[in-house]
Amino acid sequence: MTVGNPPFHAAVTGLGLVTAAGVGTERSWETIVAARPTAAEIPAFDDLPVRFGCAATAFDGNAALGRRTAWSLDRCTQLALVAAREALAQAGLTPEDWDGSRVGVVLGTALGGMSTWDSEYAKLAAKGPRTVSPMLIPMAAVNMPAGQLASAFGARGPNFVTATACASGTTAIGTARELLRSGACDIVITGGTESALTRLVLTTFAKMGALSGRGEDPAGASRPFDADRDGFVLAEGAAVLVLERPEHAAARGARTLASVSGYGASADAGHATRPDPEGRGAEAALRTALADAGLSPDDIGHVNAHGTSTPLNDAVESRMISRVLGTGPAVTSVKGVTGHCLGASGAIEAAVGVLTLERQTVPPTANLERQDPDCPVDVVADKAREGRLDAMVSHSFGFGGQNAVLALTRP
Amino acid sequence: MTTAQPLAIQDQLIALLAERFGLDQTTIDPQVTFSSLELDSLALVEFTVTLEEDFGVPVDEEDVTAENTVGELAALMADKLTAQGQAAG
Repeated sequence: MTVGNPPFHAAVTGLGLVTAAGVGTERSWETIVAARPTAAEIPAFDDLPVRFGCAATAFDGNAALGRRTAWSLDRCTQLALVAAREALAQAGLTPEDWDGSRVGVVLGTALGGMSTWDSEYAKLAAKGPRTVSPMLIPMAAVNMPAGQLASAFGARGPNFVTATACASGTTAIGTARELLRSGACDIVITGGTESALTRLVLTTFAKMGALSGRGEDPAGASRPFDADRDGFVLAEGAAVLVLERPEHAAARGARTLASVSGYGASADAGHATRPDPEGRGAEAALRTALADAGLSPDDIGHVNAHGTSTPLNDAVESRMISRVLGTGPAVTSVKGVTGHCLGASGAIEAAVGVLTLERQTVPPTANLERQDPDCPVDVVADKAREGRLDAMVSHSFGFGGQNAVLALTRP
Repeated sequence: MTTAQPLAIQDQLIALLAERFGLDQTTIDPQVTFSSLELDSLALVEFTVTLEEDFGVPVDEEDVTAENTVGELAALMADKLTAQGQAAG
């Protein structure tokens, strides 16, 4: 983020979403805008401390990609690949159209191919080394979603994964924009992916006390900003955005859905998992994103919040929002619907932010029944709110005290 | 004593290749080599793991090479199964 330069509006020309809310942007959006929660019991978790999550049950990698392609890809890469295909189709781009050396891929993921790690280790422990797949590393290494997208689309420019825990997707998009601003790329395929709904990951998050324990009511478990919230709901999903230099998008006559106009990042430099009590690191990221975009707090009409539904996050984040932006912006957390997709969440929420600006419709926060007085912000509840919206921010805060904020604007 | 049938095993191998790697069964000929099926070296090692699991006999990496044909592997698997049957019997 180079504060002080003229604002740089990276053009979003395509979106792809695969979430528990639906396979495809429209299906996901419909579910999100209707505030229909997706958390449900997961049979494989029936002996674990928490027995539910938000799985993208409608997604079948073999069906979507063909077994010939899917067999060698972890599910996190399968999700990203399907989302990328959708995003490129919407952008009207095919590999035949571009100079691949000018196309980058930057994806965020917190844990990479966790389901492959988990299942291969289980085989080693149960049946010994002869049963372990030689494909573990090429499937599960954290960089592979970005590498595989490059192979699929002939994108030969800068290629990497960003890992800032639950902020990874947001970090990826902010970093992708820097590659466009610097002139290193014309196009960056960016976003995030996560598929870590494994027994191991679920169990350790449960033991941390991070997850909701509302087993009698999974659909009501993810309830950001509600007084009765008790933790997040583990989820999987991916979102991909096609980001272009604005001149590049204009020259080919592509429609800009929204612009990524600012990015801010910071570290709490404090506790490994607990947010700074006053949200000072988050505030710094937000203020940097605003300055980078040349926006003032009064310009921000909407916050797509990190809003995990944990007692601590939502209160700290709300107080920070009201301190920096006042009580004007409409605040939403889509995690009430989608659950928490860890490293993909920031990308999913940025994609939803793009749709929010494009459609001038702020989606509601699911399960908000009694707003926590300790969350002093205007939370959009019950139904979507329509009205003019020119600028918004999307927050993501990761374990490790890693904070990232995007400013999105209407083109 | 058990004598494994190479032809039946060949059909089983073709079905496994289709199921595991998404290959088109109709294009897999017994004379075709693994390299012409476009299975790389890691896929072939993966296939040895699958074979061990499905047939219950040890299969080593040198048993399945790029130059082998599906028919040759079927014959090898038949020998392994027959040997195992004799050892057990």
